[in-house]
Amino acid sequence: MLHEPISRVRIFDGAMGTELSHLPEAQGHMLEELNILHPEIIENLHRRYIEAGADYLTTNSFSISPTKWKNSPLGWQETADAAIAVARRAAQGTDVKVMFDMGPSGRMMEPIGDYTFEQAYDNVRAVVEHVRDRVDGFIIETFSDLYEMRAAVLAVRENTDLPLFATMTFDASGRTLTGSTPEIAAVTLTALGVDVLGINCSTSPKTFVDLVQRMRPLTHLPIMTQPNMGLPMMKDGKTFYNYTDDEFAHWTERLIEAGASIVGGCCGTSPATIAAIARFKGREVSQYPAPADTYICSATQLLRLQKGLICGERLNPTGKKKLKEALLARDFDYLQKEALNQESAGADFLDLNVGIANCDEKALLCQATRKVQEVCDLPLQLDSSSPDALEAAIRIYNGVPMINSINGSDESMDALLPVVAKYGTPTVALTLDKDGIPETADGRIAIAQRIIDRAARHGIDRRQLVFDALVMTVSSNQSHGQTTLRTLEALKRLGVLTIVGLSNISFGLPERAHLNRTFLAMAFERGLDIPIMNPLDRDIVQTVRAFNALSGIDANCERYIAFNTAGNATEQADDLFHAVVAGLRDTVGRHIEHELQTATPESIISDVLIPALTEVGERFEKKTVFLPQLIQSAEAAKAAFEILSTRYARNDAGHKGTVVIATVKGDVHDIGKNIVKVVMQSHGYKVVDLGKNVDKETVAEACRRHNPMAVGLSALMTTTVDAMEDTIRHLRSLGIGLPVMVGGAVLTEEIAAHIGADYYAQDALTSVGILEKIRQ
Amino acid sequence: MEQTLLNGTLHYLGCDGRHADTATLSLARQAIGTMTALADFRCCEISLSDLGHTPDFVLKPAYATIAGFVAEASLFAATLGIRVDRKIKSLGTVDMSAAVAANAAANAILDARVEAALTDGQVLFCPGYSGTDMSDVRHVLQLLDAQRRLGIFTSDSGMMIPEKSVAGLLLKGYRFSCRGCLIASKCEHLRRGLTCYGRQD
Repeated sequence: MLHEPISRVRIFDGAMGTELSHLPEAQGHMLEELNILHPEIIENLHRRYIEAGADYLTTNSFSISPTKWKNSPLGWQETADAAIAVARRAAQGTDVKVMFDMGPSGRMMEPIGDYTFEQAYDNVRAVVEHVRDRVDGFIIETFSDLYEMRAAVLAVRENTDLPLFATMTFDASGRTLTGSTPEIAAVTLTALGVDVLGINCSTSPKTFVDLVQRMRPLTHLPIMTQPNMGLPMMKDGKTFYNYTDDEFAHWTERLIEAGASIVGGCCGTSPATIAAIARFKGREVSQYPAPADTYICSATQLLRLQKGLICGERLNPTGKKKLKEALLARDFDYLQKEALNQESAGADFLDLNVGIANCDEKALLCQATRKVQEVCDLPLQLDSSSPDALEAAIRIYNGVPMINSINGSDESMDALLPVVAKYGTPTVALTLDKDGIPETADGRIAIAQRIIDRAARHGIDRRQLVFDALVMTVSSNQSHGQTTLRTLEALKRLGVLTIVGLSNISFGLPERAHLNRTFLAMAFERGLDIPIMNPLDRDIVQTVRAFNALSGIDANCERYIAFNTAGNATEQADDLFHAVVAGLRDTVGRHIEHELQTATPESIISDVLIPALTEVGERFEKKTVFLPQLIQSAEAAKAAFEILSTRYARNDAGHKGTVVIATVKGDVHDIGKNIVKVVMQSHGYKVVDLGKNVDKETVAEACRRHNPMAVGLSALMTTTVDAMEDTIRHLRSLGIGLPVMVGGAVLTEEIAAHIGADYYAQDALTSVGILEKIRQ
Repeated sequence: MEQTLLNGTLHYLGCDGRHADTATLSLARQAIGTMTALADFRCCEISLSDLGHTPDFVLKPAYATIAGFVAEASLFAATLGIRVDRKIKSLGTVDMSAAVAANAAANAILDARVEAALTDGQVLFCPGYSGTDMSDVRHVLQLLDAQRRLGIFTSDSGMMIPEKSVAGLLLKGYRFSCRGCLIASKCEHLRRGLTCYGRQD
């Protein structure tokens, strides 16, 4: 940790890589190898930066980590040792601080790539443990993925108390390569407790001004900048940059005016550049207060907590049998769909709860968090009564979540307030304690005050606490509604945000929607900020939109107008057959109910669904319909099968058989496999989808566990066909003789035979034909 | 541009403008709109003369067919960025047909943007064409510093991430051939007497 505030401008050093890469001694080597092979060169460069006026030296260690250090005869540890030794020698007899430099791993993080959060954490932890006793601090720089940055920050924070500076790179659009804005970076890094945050590399010093201005209101921490010398250009094998030292200094002064307090340079800068900006050293800088507002975010969406937001309640298995079953089976498709449907319906963030009796909630909440974040951009409110589960999920969350919840009991506060403080997460605070829910508003406010006081002792400001006034049904006691409303009023006098789980108010009464809507309007007026509610209930969303419009929260009534002018036209079809052919998924339920009045589920499948799919298949073969319509029809048929399967006595009855499918190890493309999955499901097969980048052991394990009738393997590229062959060989070596079909862009009948597959599926419809053949 | 993208999207969906029905056209147009809004096209190029040397991989025998074009060649890479990948994935969760259309639209947008970035007579020759090694794409990306400059990563198996990325050599005056193409035996274009690069070979 920094031991004193930064009240005057400090100077960081400049580029290492671009200063070294053109030297003859560097040719054919990783630049860090020079720490051992030519330490005098590195030491000399460090000294020149010190002479230029740098207060901080960056060790020559950007690529040193277990993951990234490859193709060198030297070990990463000895190279890191040398990097520190040479910087220390240069700084000897000065006050200059030696900061150990760490760059990104060069791997793409999950879910887009295959590098896990844990791998990213361990990669940095190993370095920190090795060097922490010999440096003055750490600088993590040039990160373009917030998730990897998060893992790296935690790895440093949890393994040393030394100062930590963290900087990210942004492109010309003002986002990182994974879509995070400077505001999101500022909120996330501040929440994690870095000492200094900022921007490096990226584009030019001029473009940094806007980035600093955007970060500044969202953090009280010092901001550092290390821009490039403009844009790189190459000529005759040499790289040039388009800024002069004077121009760089001019824009550095603008950066200081915008709120930067530590300034230096990145690619293309030199000791002369640092000398040019050293004249700003010691200039007084402002101290910035913590933001007045409270924020949560995902990697791509920042949300200021304020009145009139909607927290979606549907990612919660309580009372939802289908979601519960899906979660227990670790089938996250349903959860992901619920998340996306709520996002489309207008939710601003989503509550995520996976509390199911007798399940490993910690593991499940982590998996569910990852899966929802994989497809949905909305920030999440992680909801659990287990402190362990909450901390584990906060840890792997990408961004800053809200948590739900702590309460006024010592046990809850002792367990969770340190977690809230460590991760900087806003939290829902329930106005109850070990004695239960107070009957009166005064009792609830007393608990709220106790939580505020206890939180303050952990350094947590009341703005991070979002108080739940607690809603109980009026069917058991009619005063419950009034108590909640009085509590809301009193909570607002404490200067805190408020939240309630809305639908409890009407439990046990008929026509609940009317009560919920009316209570929502009353609660808004008495001090409610955020309802946790069902955003798929259009009427209650209307109440929120109308309130926001009438109270001026919704500027120019924009969201109200947008919500009420979106198209709602739905194409109609007369019967189930035509609904499937036309791909009208939303209408099949109504048609099935009608069909079931006169037919059995079995006959609906054989007499309506299969002929409809056959019709679409024939049209596809004749090229009168194309892939999108084929899939739409398949989706409609799949929805029909799902409804019909609930009418069978046994769960699995109605399925023609089980198929295990996967995109093989090393391949992260999965759209082809997903199409095959939908089409197989539409024809009545149960599909166990293992996902993408799946290793052979997982495929074998799935075969043992699910006893499928066939295995389907997908690969897009020649480079991963080997993995496909390896998987088939592995299955055979274990005595798993199941039919294996393969498909993918580069495969042919010949290649399929060559790698030991039983069938080659050219497209999704062919795969169904193969299954039919196997079944017979 | 709008018509180019529509034609390209329909092409990737397996149909063309003459055959596409209203529903397909509507889906394609919607996908083009969505993907255009998310596409963050970036590209970079270095001529081999500015690079100062001819990369070793270009000297492999498989590259003999382009040997005459190397003197004026450039290394090139381009991407639509990660948000396009995420959106396709997210659409696939709730609406696979929209995901397929978005995938096709993204391909068409990348093609069009790359085409617009090329100068007259240049074609993009990617490793994997004409019997060359697809994994050579790593060398192209490394020499361009494409991870840092464009955000293109490569997986252990040599795949580019984001998926909607291309990398290769810009060659002036080169004419493609289907010789050595891995999927020639099942190529839909060849069956119809066409090629994927838009003209009779």
